[in-house]
Amino acid sequence: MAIGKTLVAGAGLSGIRSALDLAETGYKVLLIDQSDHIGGLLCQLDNQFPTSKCGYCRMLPMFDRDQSSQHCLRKGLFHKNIEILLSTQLMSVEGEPGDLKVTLKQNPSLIDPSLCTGCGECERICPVFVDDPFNEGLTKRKAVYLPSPQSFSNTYTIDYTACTRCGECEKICPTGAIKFIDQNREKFKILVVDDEKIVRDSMKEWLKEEGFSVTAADSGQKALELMDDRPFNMMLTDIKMPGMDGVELLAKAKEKNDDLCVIMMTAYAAVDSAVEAMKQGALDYLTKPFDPDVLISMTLKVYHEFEIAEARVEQVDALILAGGTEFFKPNLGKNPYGYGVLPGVVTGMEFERLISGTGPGKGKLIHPKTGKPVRKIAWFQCVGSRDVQTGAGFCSSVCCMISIKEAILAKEKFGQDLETTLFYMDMRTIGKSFDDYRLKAREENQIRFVRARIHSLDEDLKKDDGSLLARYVDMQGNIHEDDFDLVVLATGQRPAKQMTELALKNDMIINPWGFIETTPFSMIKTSRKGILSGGSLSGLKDISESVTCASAAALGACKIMHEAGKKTIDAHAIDMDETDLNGLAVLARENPKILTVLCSCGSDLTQTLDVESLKLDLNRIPENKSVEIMDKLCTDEGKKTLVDMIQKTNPNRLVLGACLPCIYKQRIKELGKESGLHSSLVETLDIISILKQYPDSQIPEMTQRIERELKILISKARFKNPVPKERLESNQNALVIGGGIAGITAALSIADCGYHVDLVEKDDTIGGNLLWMDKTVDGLDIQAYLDEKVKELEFHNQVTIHKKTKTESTGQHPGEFSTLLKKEDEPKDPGETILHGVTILATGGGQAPLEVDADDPQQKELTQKEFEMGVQDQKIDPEKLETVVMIQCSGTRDEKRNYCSRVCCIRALKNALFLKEKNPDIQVYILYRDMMSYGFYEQYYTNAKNSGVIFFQYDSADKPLTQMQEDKVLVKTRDLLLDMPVEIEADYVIHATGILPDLPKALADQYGASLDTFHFFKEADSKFRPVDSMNYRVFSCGLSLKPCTIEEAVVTAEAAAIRAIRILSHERLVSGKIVADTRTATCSMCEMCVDTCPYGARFVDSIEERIVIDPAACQGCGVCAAVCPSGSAVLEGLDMRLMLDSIDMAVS
Amino acid sequence: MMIKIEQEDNSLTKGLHQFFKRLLEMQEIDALFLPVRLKDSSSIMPSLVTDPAQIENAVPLSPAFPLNSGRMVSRLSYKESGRKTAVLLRSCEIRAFIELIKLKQGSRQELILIGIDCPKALTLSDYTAYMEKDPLEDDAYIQKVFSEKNETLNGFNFSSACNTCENPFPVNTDMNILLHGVDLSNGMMVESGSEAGQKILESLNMQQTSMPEKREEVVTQIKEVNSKANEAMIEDITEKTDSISKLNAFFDRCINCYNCRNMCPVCYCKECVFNTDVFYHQPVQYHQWAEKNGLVKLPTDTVFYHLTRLAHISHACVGCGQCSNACPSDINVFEVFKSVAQTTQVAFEYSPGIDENDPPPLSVFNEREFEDIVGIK
Repeated sequence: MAIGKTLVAGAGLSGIRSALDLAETGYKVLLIDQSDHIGGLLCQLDNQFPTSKCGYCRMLPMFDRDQSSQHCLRKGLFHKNIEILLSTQLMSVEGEPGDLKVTLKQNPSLIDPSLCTGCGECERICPVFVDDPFNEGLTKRKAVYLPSPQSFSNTYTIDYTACTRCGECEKICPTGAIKFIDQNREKFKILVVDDEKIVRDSMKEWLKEEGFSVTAADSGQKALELMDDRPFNMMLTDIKMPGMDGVELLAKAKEKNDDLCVIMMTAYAAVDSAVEAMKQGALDYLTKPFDPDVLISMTLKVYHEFEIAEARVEQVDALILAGGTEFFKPNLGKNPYGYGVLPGVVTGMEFERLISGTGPGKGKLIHPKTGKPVRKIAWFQCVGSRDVQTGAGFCSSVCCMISIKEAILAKEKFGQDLETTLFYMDMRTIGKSFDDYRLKAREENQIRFVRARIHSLDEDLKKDDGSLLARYVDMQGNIHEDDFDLVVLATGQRPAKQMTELALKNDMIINPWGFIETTPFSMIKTSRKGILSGGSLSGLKDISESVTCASAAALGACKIMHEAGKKTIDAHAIDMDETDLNGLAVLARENPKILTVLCSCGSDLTQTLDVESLKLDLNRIPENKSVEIMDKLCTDEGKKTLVDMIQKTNPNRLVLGACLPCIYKQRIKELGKESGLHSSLVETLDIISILKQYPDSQIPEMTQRIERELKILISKARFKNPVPKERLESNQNALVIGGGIAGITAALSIADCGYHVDLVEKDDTIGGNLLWMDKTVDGLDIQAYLDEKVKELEFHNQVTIHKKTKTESTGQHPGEFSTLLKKEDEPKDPGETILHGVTILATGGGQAPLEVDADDPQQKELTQKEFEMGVQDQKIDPEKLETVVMIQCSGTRDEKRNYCSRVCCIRALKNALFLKEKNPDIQVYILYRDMMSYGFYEQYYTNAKNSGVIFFQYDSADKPLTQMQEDKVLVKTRDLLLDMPVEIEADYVIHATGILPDLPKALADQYGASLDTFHFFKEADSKFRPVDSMNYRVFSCGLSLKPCTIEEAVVTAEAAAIRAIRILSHERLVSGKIVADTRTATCSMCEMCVDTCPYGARFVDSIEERIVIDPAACQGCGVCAAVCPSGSAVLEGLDMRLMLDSIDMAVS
Repeated sequence: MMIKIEQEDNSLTKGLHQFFKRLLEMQEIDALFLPVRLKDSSSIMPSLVTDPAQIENAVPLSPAFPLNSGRMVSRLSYKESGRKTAVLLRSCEIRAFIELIKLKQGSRQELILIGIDCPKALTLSDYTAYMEKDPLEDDAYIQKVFSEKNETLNGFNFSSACNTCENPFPVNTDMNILLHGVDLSNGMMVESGSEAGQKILESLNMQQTSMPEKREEVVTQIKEVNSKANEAMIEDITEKTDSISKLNAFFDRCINCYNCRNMCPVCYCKECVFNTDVFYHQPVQYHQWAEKNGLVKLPTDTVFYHLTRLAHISHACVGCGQCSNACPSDINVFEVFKSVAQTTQVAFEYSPGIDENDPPPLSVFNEREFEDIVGIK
């Protein structure tokens, strides 16, 4: 059986998440991105809310983590199961799920990454300046540049479109990493046709010098003969020739070879005919007499196309599209805010770059045009969103929170006295902690929120200092004018062009706005089988939603691969050399013999270091057997010298001082293989960076500095012993608690991938909240969907359903939980104990009860659920109603429950539209604070307004009051527009009471999970690990995780499922290299380590009376070692002697 | 609930013996742990007593404080024994034991904790000298300590740990024996501190009484006096150790015997890290140290040892003073530890030994704490 393989197109946040989930499960992934770096949009964003920090690295694998890089994902990514191709585009897809043929086009690289040391000489010499897209064009960069300032590999890249091929960088590169002329050029065959010999000869000479194969012909006839003989890639032909002229030759040549690229050569006077020739298929023309540089440059561009045209075709099982979205360009169209015209008007992304430490201001907030400090900033929301004029009848969902974050960030970074104002329509704080965040912004950070749409923005002519004058009308109709130094436009989302094209080419359905449309109740399945959509492709999402969606897409791919009978890679079968226990034991007993090698990196180290004194000092350390200076270890030759030296002197530890690329982890592994030295016993130091960092240092000072660093490494080397990685037997069954749609989906998803699931439901019916629901706002039939899912579940041979059952955790051991299942109403039931490797808490939640003071015997004040059920039971007849009032945020988003329940506004719109459809004469009022019709739900808000539903906004400090009046309810509220009290007599008042989670604390505690302040499941990281708990085997989905719609519950369940499958797919889990252990002989069993372990990796084994560790859970953070006074809690590989000795070396 | 213990034969000690005997004779109590004068000896050592006849050798109140019994009680209780033991402890012993409970080194499950108003103690060396001269009879000692307020005992000063003790009155016990502010001629009092304690006192069917009016005043006064002494001591010791060189000088006589650690009731490790190969340096290491400064004093790691101990247990230090008692080089270890402990405990808002449900600071993670020190905003 073959190993499953998935192509993930797009290596931003979501692409990385999908790729890592699949790679951790054990599948192969091909991860491509059309840009020159991985990490996507987040590379440009330094800080995220709510922490104003980042947490990108929290997506990295937790077990077997040494198979992957362990640094910031902005710096790059490595994983043994992931192949990454940058500057690569997905051209086409053919075939069926499980057997897809994908065609990729990759830009070739002119810089050899294994040789580039990132010294920057090329950048210094490059004469070409272009706008730097990384800084959104706010700064310039060269045509040879570092793709992102954080990138770890430090490898330069050439911008093909900007590069003039002057070749200066090639000349100056000290390691010969840049090669404009490469062997492939010989394969590029050029035919020169001209009747003048001198032209033929000189062109032949110029092009040959560049390494191309050139053939010349003196006439059209001759040229055609030559073409019969062998194929050409490019033809340069004169137009005016005796006999057959160039244009005729073009036509005939194209008949023979349509792909032939033809460039016409003509005298200035005959340009017209050249232009004519281009209409007939010539690519370009050259005017005689021409500069050889122009000829070469044009030829190279054609050659470059030729090179990338060599498409790579791959066979994969599934395809995940994770191409993200693009942003609205405010200067297209009417441009009411003068973007690109007025100085000081920037987009949100530009603002993020402005305030970034790696941005144009280098950490200072200065006006992009005037260079003056900025003190007053305004944000305009909904630029290119919720705006039919710009073709955006949708909400972009994330801009409100991004703008609040930017305002807070600006204040945190540049002083709380900065004046910040947010102009908005509805503040869409649609996540669990978002309302809290807004409150913090308003109360603590004093950010001004103004509900108004700016109608004009101009330069303030009275001031003449670049200030911008904004005019707007407030809620009460008063006109205001306000000055700002900077205006930030919260630009809305637009579909990623390349992905939309790809979708159209491949018969996938896109929605009216050009985003990829997913199938009913799914956020990941596209209309084409085998192709999944991850992240923002189907509409802009915040980080946690993108990550959730990306994981769900990985689950989709996982299912496809499982159904196609594809295998996973056995995690514990790899890397046997590192697990040679006997060999390691022998090594540990040997006395350390250290070889210290310094690479001079092409220069003379004696110019900067007193090498002799360095050698003398280091050789005084008994274990250090010798110090050697070598050159260019990065080259094959250099490496061979080192390998020879190792084999000759036979050290068992190596300390290596070289440049960054040379000490790259993968290279050290290679070195280890070739030399026979265990790679974990190689200590490395980037000496070149240290030398560069202090250019003015005197020799003695520098020698001392380097010596100290080397001594630290020598001390590490002498105490370091290779540690075999731990292997943990891991149970491969799952327990899902809760039989609502989230639990059902999670169970089915896991079972469909081949693992057994026990599903526990406390009621006697499966289905949860969906049981009382009829249709979604999109008109989808919920009951039909539920029936289908329940049937699937009941007939699934990998699922055991336990209805009317409660769970009681009976302990967690490394790799396994045990849980007692007991029947709810049978107290005598001894129960059944099941063992499982993962736990999914899908205990759900429900609508909060209605809190109405007045007695309401006629049941005229209802919750949304009560109303919908009343209609279903035909107790409420819409046709007999005159007036219905809906009150949003009833008892929620206030002190008691300060979070938005996300679904109630959409439900209100659905109900309002339903009432209007059944009875067009009915008056429907919706009293709201902020209409949360996020994303494409905005269309229903528009529909409701168009169909005559009346919206009154109310203030949270002045809530609507209700009062029974005979058989009507009198609703009193205040119209904020007219600033007048309003009274409405309603047949029914429908309260949106919000959602309450139903996850008992005791249950969460039993499995090592915890709850947030609102009693929802607390995520390990609300952004980057949105369905995980700190216990790596426990997940949550659906309403117990957060308020969500049906499709959102489904997507969280799918995400939880793949996060679980990552673990279930391994019989044994492999730990990281640095892993905690306990020295039982000296352990006092005080359990401090157990209490403090943030990952729940430590357990008390009460039978053996010792502390045991789940090595896969342990992240090697060392908290246990820090709290243990006797040194019994240790980190293998980082023993205390090593640390003390290193410190000693550092201070000596 | 509060009961009264009458004198027996005009003796407070014998009155207490009577009380302890009745406890030991109860069905619910299998053994008693308290200080006993050993047979044919003048030494008073904590002992586990099961025979009621042995109670008459008990010396519940004396200036003898050979060791902090908190760690002995931990030995009696770290696992189930199937027997119920009543233990009589000084306040600092109880506090040490509560800390050990938090560290899973003991359990209250099978214990009845009996506290007693602290009778103060002499340092070990002073106690030996005192006993050799003309020691007071047990009752006379009680009268002296609890009614006469003498600062010295036959010319010997009480231990500085006792003089600076801010918590000489046990809390969170099952019952407490009260002597301060009580008219001793009329007997002593026992106050219950828990349900279990109250049940026992009830079943003894002894005369009930109420809190004497004077008590609160006396208690406050003692605390105030000790607190002032404590402040003065900390000021003094801080002055003596407020630089690295002064600190080095302070500990320069340390011979790494680790006695202070062995006697410390909250230094609970089965095996100390200083006994492991971490500090068993390579010979070349000593040479390297010597080469650096021209010489290196041996044993090394002496101040490091004390600093490590401070890092490990200063939050839990109950100020019993046994570390100073144990030092053969007469280093006033206690004073340094108490002053550092005070700072640590204030910083973490932690009172060791008071509430067993109050977790040790190291086991609690606060996202935001000491931001000025750790430099993370």
